[in-house]
Amino acid sequence: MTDTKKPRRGAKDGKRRRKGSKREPLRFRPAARLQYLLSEQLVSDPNVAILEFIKNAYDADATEVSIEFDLADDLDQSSLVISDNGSGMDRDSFERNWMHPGFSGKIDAPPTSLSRIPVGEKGLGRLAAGRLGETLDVYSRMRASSPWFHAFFRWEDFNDKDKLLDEIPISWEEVDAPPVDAPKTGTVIQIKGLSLKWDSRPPGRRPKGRAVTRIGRLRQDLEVLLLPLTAGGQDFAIHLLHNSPLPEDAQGLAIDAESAAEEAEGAPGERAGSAPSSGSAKAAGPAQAPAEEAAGPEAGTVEPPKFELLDYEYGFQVKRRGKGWRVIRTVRRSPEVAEQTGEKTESKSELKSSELPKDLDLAACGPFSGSLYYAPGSTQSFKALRVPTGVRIYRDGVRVDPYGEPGDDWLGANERKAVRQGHAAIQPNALYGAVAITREDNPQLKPLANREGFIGNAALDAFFALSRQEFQEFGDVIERELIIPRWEKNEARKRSEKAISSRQWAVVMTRATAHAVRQPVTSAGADLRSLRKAIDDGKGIPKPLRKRLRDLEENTKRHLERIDGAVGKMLGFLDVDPDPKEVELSALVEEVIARVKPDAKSCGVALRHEATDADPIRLRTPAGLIEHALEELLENAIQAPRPEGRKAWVEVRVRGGDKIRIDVADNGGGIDEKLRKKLFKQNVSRTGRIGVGLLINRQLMQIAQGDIELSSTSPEGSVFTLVFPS
Amino acid sequence: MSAPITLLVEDDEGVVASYRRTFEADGIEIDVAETWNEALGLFRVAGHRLVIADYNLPGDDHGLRLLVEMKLLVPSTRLILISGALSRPAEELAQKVTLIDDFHPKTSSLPDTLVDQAKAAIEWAAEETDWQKVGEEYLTPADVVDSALEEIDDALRADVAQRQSRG
Repeated sequence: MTDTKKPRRGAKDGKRRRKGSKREPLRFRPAARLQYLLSEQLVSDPNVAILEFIKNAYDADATEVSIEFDLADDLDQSSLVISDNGSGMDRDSFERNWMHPGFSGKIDAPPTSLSRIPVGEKGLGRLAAGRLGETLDVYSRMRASSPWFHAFFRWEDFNDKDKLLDEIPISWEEVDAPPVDAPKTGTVIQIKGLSLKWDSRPPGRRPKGRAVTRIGRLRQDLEVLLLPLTAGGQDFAIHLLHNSPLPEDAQGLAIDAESAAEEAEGAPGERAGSAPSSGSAKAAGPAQAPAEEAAGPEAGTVEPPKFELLDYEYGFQVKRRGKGWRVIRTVRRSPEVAEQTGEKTESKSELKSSELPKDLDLAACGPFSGSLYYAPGSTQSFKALRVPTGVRIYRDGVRVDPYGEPGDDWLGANERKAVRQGHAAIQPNALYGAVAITREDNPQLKPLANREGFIGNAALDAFFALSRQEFQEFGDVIERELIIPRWEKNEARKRSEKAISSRQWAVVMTRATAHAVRQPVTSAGADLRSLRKAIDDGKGIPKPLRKRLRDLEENTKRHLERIDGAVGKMLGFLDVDPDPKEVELSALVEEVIARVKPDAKSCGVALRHEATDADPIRLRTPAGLIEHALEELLENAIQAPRPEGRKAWVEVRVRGGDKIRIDVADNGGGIDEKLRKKLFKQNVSRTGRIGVGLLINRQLMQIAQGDIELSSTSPEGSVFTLVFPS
Repeated sequence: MSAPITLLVEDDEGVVASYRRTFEADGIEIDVAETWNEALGLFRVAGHRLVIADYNLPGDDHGLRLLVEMKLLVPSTRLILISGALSRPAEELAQKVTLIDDFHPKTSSLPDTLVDQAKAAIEWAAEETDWQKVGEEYLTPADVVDSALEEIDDALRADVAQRQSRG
């Protein structure tokens, strides 16, 4: 049986189609509310909406853009005018660009005639205008001879769930002039019925470093919109004007109350008005900027921050070299820091591919560079320069939100501080800087349409990881050059204080001990004298006993004299000055020789002093310790046992060179091997008696960064040497 | 045995006993005071020719200042300062004070020295007074106050400052 039934219409392939289906593919038909939702809910920060218009002006090669708020108590009566002297639009270009959401002729567009890389490449910024007010009037013209094109938007019209986006008519006309002051050519945006009170304080806790009012925060955002010295950005002046009747500090144009007070003291400066910035960052000292603010509606030019070296600048460049990558690092230091740290004012280093993290997709990320500025303890300097702290990211010279804003910690500065319990090398409130990327070099680093960061991908991971690595390296530099030396200095100070208190304690205890010993010693001396008298006067004492008693009296006297000597030496230690001072070594030796000369004379020892270097040797050393050690060596050398008949001498020789040496040579009988081993280990003198000994003197010399050596010993004599670093 | 012309100012009983014995063994009678105030009281009565005072004394003031007070009362008195604990710079400072005739650390040989000094004082006391010489050497209280006291103050301050600067 043959099926003679004809296929149903519309089903060429024999498949059934549902009733009512068409051949045409499905298409999006955006509702009018899409515009309403995008403008109301896409952008959280109203500043972003204004910045989008400023970026459009930048892309249009404007050299001046003016933002003027006409603020009234009634928001319906408040308005905002943003005008620029850029290339402007006619009806056709307006329709092509503005009336096609998501369309942008700037995608992959070449640099403008002012060498600017267009930044408004998403074609969405204009949608954010609904965030700012109820209506939008756009006036634009490309030639001074043309009439102004005027289009009018009422955003409420889009809040209609039954209409499609293209069903909302946008009225337009040609007019002779906009109703507000306008440049000869360019674009004027007028927003009426503002949705926010711009001279009020936004709700919630004010982020640290942020101005008090919305308008103050807008100024801050405008200041950092463009990377200073960006190609083409130098001839881009932004004027922020307002008519707020509030006093300046209440406007919150200053970053905080402290700088408001500083600014209030500033002398009236120039009224910037419409004077364009030459582009290169003008000095924005505390006297000038507030005067501009204080001038109210005529106030004006937004000054970009001065990126200048305060204490440290850390620059890094991530570069492709052959198949690999390099990070070239440059650390610049202010002359003051260079002097303080002993480092050069500029030093460079390089990180090779093999030293870079292996898991980073640098090829996806592309090359980039950054400059970080740090001035520890100089937040006041930052304020004076009106530099907002934070490290921002600039794409083709224009800032990418929200990186570097207060509260954003993309570089991990706050995290590092928190992890180290506030003791991070770099304090975030004294850090600022910029990391620069470009559309060409870093195509995969794309900002989100809502201007709230980059799109997450492997390129972003590599970019963040490498930037954080460089920040960490900068922190290591600061730690190495500033923090550790300061810590060591504090430690040294603590050690010194401890030593001083120990020394004071030692002085008191030594004196007390000396006193406690000397009282009975002098009493014993008196009693011994009485005993001698008694022996001399005693009648009836047998002669042998009298002799025996006299011998004992003499022995006791000698013992007491030894105690006298030991106590005198103990007190002598208190007189040793351990503080370093500049000394001429031969003079020091002469002084010590003079001190021991009487002893040498009484022992029949000839003393000689010889300086082997023609030039006097000077050094900075704790001379008191050296003198003490030398005196001890000389006394030992004088008292060294000598063979019968040998004419005794002691010679002191001073030698320079890589190390400075003072030899004390004697012609004693030498030191036997058994004693030699104990010389610097136990409190023995070279004669083997228990005493203060070489051990203590060696310790004294070590305090003076030197040492004592037994250079030679033989039956012909010995040489002990004091050694110092030259 | 004549009336004591030597005053020992010392608060250590052991030292006093031993010294007294050794002085007496040589036939020398001494007065002994244990405190600053007692010493000054005795000196006011007896006007000793030789005063041997410890540096550290219980009482109102320093041994060194006690000697100055005595010098004010009897300028011709010979003054000896003794100490068990002074360091060498402090000894040197004490010796620089011209009102002090001598300074000695308390060593085992000190009694020999003191006995000799006491004997010399006795001999000097027995001599006929050379009033002309006394007149020439006599210090007025003003001299003492203006020069000696300041000198001692300077010396003591310098000693303290030196100790502080060194530690």
